[in-house]
Amino acid sequence: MPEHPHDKLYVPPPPPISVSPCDLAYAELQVTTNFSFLQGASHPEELAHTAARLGYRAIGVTDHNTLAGAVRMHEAAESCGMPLVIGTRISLTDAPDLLVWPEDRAAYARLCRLLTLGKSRVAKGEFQLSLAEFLDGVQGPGVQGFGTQGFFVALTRPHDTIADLYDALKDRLSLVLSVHYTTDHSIDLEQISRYAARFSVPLLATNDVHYHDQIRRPLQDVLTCIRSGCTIHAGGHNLFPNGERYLKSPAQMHHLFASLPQALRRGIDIARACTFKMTDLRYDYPHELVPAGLSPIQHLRNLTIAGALSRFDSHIPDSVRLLIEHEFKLIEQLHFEYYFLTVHDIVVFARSRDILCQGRGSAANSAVCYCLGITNVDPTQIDLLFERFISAARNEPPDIDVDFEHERREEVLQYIYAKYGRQRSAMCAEVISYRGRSAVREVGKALGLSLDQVDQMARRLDWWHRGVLTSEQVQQAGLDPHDPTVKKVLDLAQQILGFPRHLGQHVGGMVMTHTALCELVPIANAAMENRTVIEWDKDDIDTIGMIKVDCLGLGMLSVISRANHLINPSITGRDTAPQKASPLALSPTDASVYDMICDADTIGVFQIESRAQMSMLPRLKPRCFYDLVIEVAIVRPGPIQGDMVHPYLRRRCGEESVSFPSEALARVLGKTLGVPLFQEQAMKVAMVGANFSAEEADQLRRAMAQWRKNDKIQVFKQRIIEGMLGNGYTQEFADQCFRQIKGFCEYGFPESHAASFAHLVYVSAWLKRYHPAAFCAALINSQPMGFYAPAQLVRDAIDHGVQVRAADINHSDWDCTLETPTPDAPLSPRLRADFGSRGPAVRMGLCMLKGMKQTVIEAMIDSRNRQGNFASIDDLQQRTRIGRTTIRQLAEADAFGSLGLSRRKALWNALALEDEARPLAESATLFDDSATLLPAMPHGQEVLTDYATIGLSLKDHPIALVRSELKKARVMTCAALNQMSHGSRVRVAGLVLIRQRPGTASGIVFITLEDETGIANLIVRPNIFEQYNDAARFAAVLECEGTLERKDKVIHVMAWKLTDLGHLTSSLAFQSRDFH
Amino acid sequence: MLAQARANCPLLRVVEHEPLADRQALLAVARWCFRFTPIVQLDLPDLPDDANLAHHNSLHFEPKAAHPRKQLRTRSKLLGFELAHHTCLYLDLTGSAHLFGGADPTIRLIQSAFRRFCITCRIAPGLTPGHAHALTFQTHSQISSALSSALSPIPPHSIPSHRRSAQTPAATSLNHLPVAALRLNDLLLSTLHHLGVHTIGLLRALPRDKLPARLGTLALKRLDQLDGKLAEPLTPVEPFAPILIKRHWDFSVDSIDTLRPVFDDILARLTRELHRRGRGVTHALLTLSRHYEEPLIRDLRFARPASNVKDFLRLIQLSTDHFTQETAKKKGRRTVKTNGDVIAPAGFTAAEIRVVTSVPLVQQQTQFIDTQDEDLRTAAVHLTESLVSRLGNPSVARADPVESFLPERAWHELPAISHQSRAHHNLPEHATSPLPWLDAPLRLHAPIEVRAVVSPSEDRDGKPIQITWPSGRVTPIPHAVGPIRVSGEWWRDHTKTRDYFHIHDNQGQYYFLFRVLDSSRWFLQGQ
Repeated sequence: MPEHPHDKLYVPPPPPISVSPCDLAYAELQVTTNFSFLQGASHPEELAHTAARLGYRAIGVTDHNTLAGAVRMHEAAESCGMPLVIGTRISLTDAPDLLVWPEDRAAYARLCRLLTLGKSRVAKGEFQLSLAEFLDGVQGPGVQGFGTQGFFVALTRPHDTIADLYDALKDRLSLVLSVHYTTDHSIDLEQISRYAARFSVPLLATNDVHYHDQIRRPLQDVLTCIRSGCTIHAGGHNLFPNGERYLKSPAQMHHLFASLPQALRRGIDIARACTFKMTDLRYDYPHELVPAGLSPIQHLRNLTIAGALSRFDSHIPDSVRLLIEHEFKLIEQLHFEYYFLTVHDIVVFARSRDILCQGRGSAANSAVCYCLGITNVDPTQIDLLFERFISAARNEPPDIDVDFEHERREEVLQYIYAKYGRQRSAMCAEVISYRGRSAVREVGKALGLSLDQVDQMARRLDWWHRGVLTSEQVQQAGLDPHDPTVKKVLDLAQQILGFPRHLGQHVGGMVMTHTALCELVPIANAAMENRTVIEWDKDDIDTIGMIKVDCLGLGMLSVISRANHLINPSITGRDTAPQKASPLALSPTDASVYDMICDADTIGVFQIESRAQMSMLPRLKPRCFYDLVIEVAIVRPGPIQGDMVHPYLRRRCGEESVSFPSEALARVLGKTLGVPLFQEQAMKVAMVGANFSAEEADQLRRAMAQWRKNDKIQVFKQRIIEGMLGNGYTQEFADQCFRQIKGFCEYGFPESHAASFAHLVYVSAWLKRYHPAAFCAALINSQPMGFYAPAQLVRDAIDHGVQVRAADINHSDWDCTLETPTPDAPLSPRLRADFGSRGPAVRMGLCMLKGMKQTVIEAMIDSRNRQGNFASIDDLQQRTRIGRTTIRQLAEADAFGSLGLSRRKALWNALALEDEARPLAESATLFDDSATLLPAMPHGQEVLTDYATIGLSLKDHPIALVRSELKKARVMTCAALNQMSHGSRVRVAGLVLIRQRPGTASGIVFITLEDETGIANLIVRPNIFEQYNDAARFAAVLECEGTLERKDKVIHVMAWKLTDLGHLTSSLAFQSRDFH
Repeated sequence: MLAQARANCPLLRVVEHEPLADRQALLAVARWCFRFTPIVQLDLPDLPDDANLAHHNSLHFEPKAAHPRKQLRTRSKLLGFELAHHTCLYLDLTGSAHLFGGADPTIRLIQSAFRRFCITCRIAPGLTPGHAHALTFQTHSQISSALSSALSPIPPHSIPSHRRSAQTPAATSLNHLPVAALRLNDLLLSTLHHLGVHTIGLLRALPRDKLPARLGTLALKRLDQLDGKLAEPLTPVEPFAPILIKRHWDFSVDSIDTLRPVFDDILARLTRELHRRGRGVTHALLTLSRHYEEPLIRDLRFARPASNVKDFLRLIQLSTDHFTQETAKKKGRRTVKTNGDVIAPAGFTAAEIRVVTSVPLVQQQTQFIDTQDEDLRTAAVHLTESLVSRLGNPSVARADPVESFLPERAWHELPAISHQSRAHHNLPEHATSPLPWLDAPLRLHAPIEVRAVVSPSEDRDGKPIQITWPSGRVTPIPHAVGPIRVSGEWWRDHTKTRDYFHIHDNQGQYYFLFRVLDSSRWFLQGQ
């Protein structure tokens, strides 16, 4: 996916141009950034920039047991020319903390190994290393020609181990000395220097920096409280007594250490001696995939040609041949052969295991990727722009993202771990940072607000909030915005935004190396079992020039795979040729599929099931594959903000003539009717219209992606407009082009990515058209995914004539399955046409029941398959030894229909069971008709209990139960909205299906309601949303008064009043205590 | 939830729910009901923690109409004769109702009394406890009609079960009541709910023999108790037994010293009782009654739970000393003023000791090696007790450490004798000194501003060499240790930073001095 420009919660201010000159030499070598989670209170950038402004000679980062912040610190230091010493602070189990700075690449490698060792045996976030192990690692073998040379080590406080350390490290050891005014420092300095002199260990003056400026002291205190889980009032002596741990000016430091100039000089000496730079790191791809005797490019070429032959039925078109040659030239020039081979290897593995996969993103621009089977975008159908993928100008790794079935992705990841080993492969990290919610929650707690107050505040911040609360929101949360504590909470929460909280896993990025990865970056255990993660995130590895392969999970691939297996039960085995059976190999040409899409009948279809997409479909009327590509790309913030949607629609409907300012541009924009919709087109417009080279165009793209960060885009603006004027275009057209290009800054889709996705759109739509039952079952089995809950999917399937049957112990499997429908079933004409009377029916799986355990249920199904159906509840228990609780849950979910037992009767029988099965003779429920004395369950309660236990009901819709009351209140059905005219006042009510707040809709919230007749789409303006905040935000059943808006086939209700109808269902729930 | 409520109603007053306090209050209410009958049963939901009710047996319920809510912090409307599902009071009025003019008037009396206490409750008379409980689920009019008819003269549960008919006439009329009226637990209620068995009648309709296997025995037991088929004797609340030792005599005694044998006797009885209960006294009241005058009342507060005669005698001695002198003076005055008056001298006629609070005694080894230390501790206890008995508890305070870097915030005041300390429990051993990294001064007082000369003079880190007192007196400082920098507690809006110094003058006098960093003003905070 293209990255979202807003993702950065913290955007550093521009760095100082250079390091300020300063007569007094000082290098600060002990700096804790906020990558020492919950300890440092400043970003690396703040520290580096401040050091530059103060005129430091060097700054040394020493985060606690980690190098996680090293890359960001490196970048920040580079940006202002500040010399940086990479280091870390290692906590030992049997000695005080040590500060360690590697001098060169080899020492850095050993440091990474040490950190990896300390992290490998403990859970995520912890560290364990003894002094002996440390000394071992520092001197250890494995790195040629280095003894203790290569490291500078400093002991953080006087300790008995100083003698041992001195023996091992000799003149590389120092003793840290800081002045924080916690004792009389004149006495302290004297005592410590006498102590150090006794062991002839030089002193090193540092300030143990925790923040760049004194104003961060409150934040540092709060972080300490969050770390130790107390409030600030109980912080006591855990906090620092004063705020001295900031970056002091060299003059201040010289003043403090006036009596010990050698301690200041030591810092300069160390900084000078440590020549290691992050740029020394070289990354190399795994080599072993190339057979002996072949050069990597030869091997890649062989594989590609073989793939191309099978893709194009033994006849490779010339155009493709040209493309491939062009790509090979670049690949060879930039040495990316190994990278392609690694990805190919992974894909081949997935194929061999029958795991569906498909490349996405810019990789789809490569014909080589297509031939290797990584992507599915046919280069003969779509114009590829290889420079979007790899460019010689930016010598940086390409980005290949591959989607796998989300439930089987772990197999692929474990394959990679197994193939390259834990020392050579790991997942990329993702830095989890404070966002609005977590910031307010944790800071509020630390400042002593009660849990429910904090909750109320945090709840008002939805995921889309990137700032903190406004004073109105604070008031709604029941707090006084002028209260000093609340003010402090908001202020500190604002400061903490974007602070790293801990390291998570990247969604799927795997990093593999030829030599040891753990000598490049420390590897730690992830919270998840069997996963190891490096300490750097994707930006960091980009900076270092490492490549990752993104192995992503995609739910729709699971759905397609499952549906495929449901339709063709025979292909479950691995022996069939998976290539032939691949459902992704469909040719996107079936007209009736497009008919269905044009009718916006797309619930469950990949990408085009959202409300915005569904309202676009009837207007866009896609008729061919390329229309789908456009459809996927057009409902995106980029085209919307660039104002390209409406011009395109008008041209498409023939309301506006399609004209091109020049022949050259007609070639670029022809297929999108003169409106640029893709990133590639924007680049090509710049190339064709304003004479940009391919590389410059790529720079333009990157500038677009980060225009909020810097003003580079302005430089390009001038170039584009001047270039276009020079080529004879009008000023007006040039301006418009630039506006559109800028629109992509928000969120543009590359055409190749859209094409990859459009392929899945077609395949899923085809399934929905021809196999609605299998599609529905596969969707439900792959939950959670997509926009819709099982209730809506089932309902949609029923609307398409599919029979859906209730879950039952004698018929259901764990997953939903297909069954033959009864012959007299009312099938829709379309289904009858497709299937005759044999169309399939869906049997709901027991996975839909709440609280079921898969292993238990599968054991039960196994017994049923072997010994036949269960004759009674006793029989069930006898044979399967299922616990009483599970049977009770099955009974409450009405799963005993095939035994002729209603909910209450089944429960009555289930209650009589012992926890352990008894011999048959003693069974209590045999020939027992006492259950008939139970009162029958009222209809309404049946429906509500269905919802409580399965999440949907096949019996009735909850709103139908209160219809008579709604009628009295003059509430109309959703279906009745179709008969209303534009502008009329309406009143509808229903279950809230979806609340959506697109970033492009300037705060408008879209709510979808459902009643027994259909759905109603509400548009809620921000002022209305705030006015009826609680109902709009939290209600499960909503009544809406508003104005009907109608355009083409699309109907909306513009809300002006919202009411929570919770009381109506709670009056039903009076019968059912379980319906929440 | 709460914040939502607060947002809707800004004036909402919120009081934390205290289950233990509730329980104590309920027990007190139950005891208050002893005035109607000696048999009062209190059914309570189980307390989650190991709260010890006996611990608080000294509490009494003194209904004050003016502050009823303070006495009973209950979960809103629940308190009364039916509280939540399970909390209720059962009064056996058999044989005592006639004292209040019959059953009806008794109930009305109870009702009005509870209304006065502002306790909302539902009251119903019944033939058995189960019956009465079920009846509280009736509507008001149904209850009042039941009031006039239902009370039988003989307590049903005292009749052996085989002599009663299978179903009393009152019971059948209860079929329409919800099953919740049966005193069932939540789990059972939810099962019944799922089965659609909402009323007692529906439950009765189910075959009896099928019930135990499915619902357990409780449901049937409750049904039978409702019908009176199963006896349900009440377990009365233990009456509150205060420890109160009293002794009268017929003549009046002038001098307290003469009372010594009396005290010996009272205290011997008191300590016997305490030993029997295994408790030590922390607070007791000594009352000496006098003819024609206010009784003499003395508060006896113990820093350590007291259980032997010696401890008591010492405090009694201490607290009455003063009185002896006072009366001696008064007597002298009186003889001067009212010469030849016939008023009998105000001699003592009775002595009484009442235990107000007591705690269970814990056996502790007191002497093994550390005898000296223990002696010192005992001496400190005696001193505290003496001071308190002379000056009154609120007048004597002790400092309790609080973790803070600011000296004036590093402690807080507690009454000298209090058996709680806020900070004590979560403070580590070493943190008892207010400034762990700094020798605390002997005396800490409010800062006094002084002027100081610093050397080197332009240096903000310089040390003081001379201070000038507000009076103008100049003291040279030959030796200073510091600065030790302490920043203010910003979360209390105290943002100034101080530099502390320990200084000595030429006489060896020791001062605790600080400079406010921003203003460079100097203050003396301790000596």
